[in-house]
Amino acid sequence: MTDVAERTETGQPYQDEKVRQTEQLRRILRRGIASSQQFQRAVDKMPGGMIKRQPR
Amino acid sequence: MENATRRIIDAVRTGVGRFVAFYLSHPAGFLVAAVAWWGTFVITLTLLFGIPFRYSVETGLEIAFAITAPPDAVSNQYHAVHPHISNTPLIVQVVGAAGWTVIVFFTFLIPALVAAMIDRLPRVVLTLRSLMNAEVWGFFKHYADLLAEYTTIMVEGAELSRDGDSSVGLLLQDNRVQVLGAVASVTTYWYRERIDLNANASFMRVIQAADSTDPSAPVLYSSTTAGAHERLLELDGWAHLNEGLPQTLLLPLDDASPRPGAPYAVVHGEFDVVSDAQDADEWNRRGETPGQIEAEIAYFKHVQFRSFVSIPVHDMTNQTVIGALTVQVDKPGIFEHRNPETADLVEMLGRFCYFLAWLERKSK
Repeated sequence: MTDVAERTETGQPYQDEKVRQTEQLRRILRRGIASSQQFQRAVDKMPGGMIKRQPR
Repeated sequence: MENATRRIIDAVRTGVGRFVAFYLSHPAGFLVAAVAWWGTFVITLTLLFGIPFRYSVETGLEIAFAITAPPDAVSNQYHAVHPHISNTPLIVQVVGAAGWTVIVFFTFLIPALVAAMIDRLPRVVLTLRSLMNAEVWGFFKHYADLLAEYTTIMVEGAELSRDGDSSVGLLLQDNRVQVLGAVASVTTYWYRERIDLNANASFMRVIQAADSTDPSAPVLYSSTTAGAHERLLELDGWAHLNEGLPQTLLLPLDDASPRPGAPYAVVHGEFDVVSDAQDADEWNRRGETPGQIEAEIAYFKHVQFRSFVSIPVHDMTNQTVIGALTVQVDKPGIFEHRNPETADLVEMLGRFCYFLAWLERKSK
């Protein structure tokens, strides 16, 4: 992390830090999308199910 | 072959697990346990002393009762079988004495065993695995992994600035769509053994009418426009944008008498069900006017949803409701009020709402 004083004084490290944070946010959001899709693929082909067949 | 074996093991394990769960939770459980232990004990003793049931059922029962009561049960039985012998052989007396020792031993042992069973069985047998089969266990692992991943993302991303970057906005939007996809997958999976469903899911956020991009936009099943309302529900997206589904949608959000579904869930902070969207009686019971019912039935005929449940999405501090997650299926009567199956599913899906709320806040 960039020191706060350094950020305000020079400006450039602050910009760099924002760019780094945005890139990191993008990375973890892509991870979220991949995890959700992986979950869907796994669950969509699962047999069974929670609710047992019952006469209605 | 391996599959068949696993199925048998699963059936036995779940059967035993459910039985134990039943008798430990049932008021008559102790009685069942006591009778089961006593029966096992009597039969074991009967077999132990070599007095099998071959004489007759009555003799067997007599022995069973006698052996638990008088000290001379064994010798009595000996004389009954051999009436011509007057004295009791030593071996029979020894066996009788041994029988008494066993009876005394078991008299103390049984309560101890029952106590130990009650204390330990919930930990040994009532594990989650004993109550579910391999498929359900597999599902829970995936479910837990996904929620753990969401939590990690929320923690890692909590302090990260998006700096107005539009690509981050798109990724947040994609994440919401994929969370809705996961919700639809869980719903389909939930009922798969009973019925094949096409499930979809949508997220609607609460907006102030002043924030509406188009005050003249129509509000669903209403003759009013966005500008006529103080608050509205605005569609964010669908899990699956199938043909015929609207890409934009506004719902009225009337705090005094919210419409069934998402508005009701948002206003009351609890999930709401429409069991059959084509059933005029159900809409009528919910207090809808004939004109509203006609519009609702026409809309749901168009989008081909028959049953849906709306779940409120709270903000990160759990203080206010920021929107509603709605799950729709193409068969009627799937979701019902006061149906534990629906309530359980809502519990499962409710966990996805935390991440939806986080994504929503991050989008601001």
